[in-house]
Amino acid sequence: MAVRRPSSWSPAVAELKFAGHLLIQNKVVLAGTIIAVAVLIAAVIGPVVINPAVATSIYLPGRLAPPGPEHWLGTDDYGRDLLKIILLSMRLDISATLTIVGADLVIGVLFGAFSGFMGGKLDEAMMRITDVFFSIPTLILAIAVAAAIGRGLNNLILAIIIVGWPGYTRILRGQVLAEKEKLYVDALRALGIGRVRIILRHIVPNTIYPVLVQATLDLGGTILLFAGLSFLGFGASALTPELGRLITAGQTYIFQAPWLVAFPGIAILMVSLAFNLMGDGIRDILDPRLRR
Amino acid sequence: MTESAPDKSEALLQLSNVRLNFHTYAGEVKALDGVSFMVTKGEALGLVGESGCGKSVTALTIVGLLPENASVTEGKIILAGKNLLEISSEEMRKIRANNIAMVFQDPTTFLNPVLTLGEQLEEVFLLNPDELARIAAERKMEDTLVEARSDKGTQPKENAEGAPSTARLSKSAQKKLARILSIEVLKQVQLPDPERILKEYPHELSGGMRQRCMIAMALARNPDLFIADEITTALDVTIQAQILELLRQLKKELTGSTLLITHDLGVVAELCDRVAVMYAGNIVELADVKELFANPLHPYTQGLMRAIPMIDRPLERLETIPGSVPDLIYPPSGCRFHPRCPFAFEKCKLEKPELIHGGKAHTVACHLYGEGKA
Repeated sequence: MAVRRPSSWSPAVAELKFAGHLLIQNKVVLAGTIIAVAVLIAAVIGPVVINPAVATSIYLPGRLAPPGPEHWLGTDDYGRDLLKIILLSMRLDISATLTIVGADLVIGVLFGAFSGFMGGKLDEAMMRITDVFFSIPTLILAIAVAAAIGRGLNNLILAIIIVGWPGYTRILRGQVLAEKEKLYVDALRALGIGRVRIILRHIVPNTIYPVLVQATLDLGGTILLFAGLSFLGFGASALTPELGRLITAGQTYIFQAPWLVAFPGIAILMVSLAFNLMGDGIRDILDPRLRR
Repeated sequence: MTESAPDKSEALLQLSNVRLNFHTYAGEVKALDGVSFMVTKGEALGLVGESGCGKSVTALTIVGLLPENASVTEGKIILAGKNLLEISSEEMRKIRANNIAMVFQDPTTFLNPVLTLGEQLEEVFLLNPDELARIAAERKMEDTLVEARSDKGTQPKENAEGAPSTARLSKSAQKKLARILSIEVLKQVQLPDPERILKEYPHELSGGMRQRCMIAMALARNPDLFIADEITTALDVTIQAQILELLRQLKKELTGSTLLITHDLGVVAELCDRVAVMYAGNIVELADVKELFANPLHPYTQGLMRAIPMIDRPLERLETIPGSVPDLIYPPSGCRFHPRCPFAFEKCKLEKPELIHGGKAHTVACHLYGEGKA
């Protein structure tokens, strides 16, 4: 079906068009992408429209107001407008998630590429280190690391980064093991190109797709982990607009003001779902079998 | 070494008594059993022999790209005064970058599939910024590159006059020059429309075009030694002819030496000045091309010659060499060819023959001739 038509488009644009074509064909992916884009737009535009000072403007007489025309999603126990707070929170959660996954991706790819390419003792040592990480459940390990390096938003992000990279390292290492046996690597070495350059410029671009797919699929899980740990009290301080934190604050009033728990929960669900559907879509787009 | 004639021309590459083993589960594979030969400056040496006789292993030993289970147990490989078997891997990398270029058998698998040819070809030039600066100065290309340069400062002209040749070019000027040189080298290997090819990915080109690109990448460095390892084997016959024609023309233009590895005696006859015949990890005969074809001395070479189909011979069964390639884990004693040799006698089983003079510019490793001489 996907016959390359001779066109005036440059290959990169043609590729994008084809990706777009695949995206539109798959309704679930399309829905996920639309939700994800909407959420992202809301998260980006929200804080521009909303004065971030809302987060700290406490108005106790108006606290715990139910959803209504004035406050669409009601107000929380500090009297802040819940919709505005959730929009602010979403930006924080999404940017934290992207930071975490991005950092893990870089660390994992570098470790995996060098480990796989160099082989030998370095590889062995690296794989045993990842084994240690895999032997402990991620959530428990993240709690332990977060507790060890202390509270605070940045420390929480750091903790999740620390527990997240081994998965990518493993995937990439496997890919590199196969890739480094390919003959073009010999040809590059015969041209006198250095090892670091071969790894970063030639091997990594050939092996990174499975890791990228894994990373997009992990976005949903990471935001849950981040919000979850926030909910448990690591990370953000009380007034910081953060989704997990909002739920913690709301659970005290779960019978008086159930919206305080429900709406941030729905927001987490939406973001996580959007990321997951988008991840599936990207996997499908990058899957060569689907592209034939 | 002692028996090689004092040559009029200078040696570029000298292999002496190189022994190499592969460690395998089944045992030590004695792949190279004392290989000695030399390549003089500017000549084209053909290395022929059947599959598994050690031709490619010899080439990989020279460029230092042996698999991990191989080890050289003895011998020297001298290139430009350095023993390549003793230098560090970084020095070896520099030698590969500047002195030796190798083109491999199958062009389909020897290019990185995710980068365009332009990126891959320009990379070869960009590896050596000093060389780029030298070329730019030599060709007085400051004017063409000046707009790329001017972003660095307001007085590019003074700069160009003050310290012209040694100053490195700016990154963008380097890129620009690399592109110009890439186009030139693609023209040199006679690819049509080089500007377009630079933007294409390897899968968008045919096998012959890819092999031309590989040759272009090898030539980009203007190497002292160009090693071509069965470069026509994976191509169609018509494309083979084109690539051979290209090599013939390049041979005239280039100053460097060529080591041409092939199992095709026809290719050797057309392109080489001298030929080394390999059998089971040994050089068995080394001679000028005309001399070898006119007067093959070693029984193995004679067998090979008889096995070439000739258009003017009446149609009969093509002759073959009886037996098969020996198991190199347990190689035959003495001369490794003796189990298949029609002239073998007692001494062949016991003693390994050395390379001896069998005529003008002709050496052979066979007891048949040693007897006559002694």
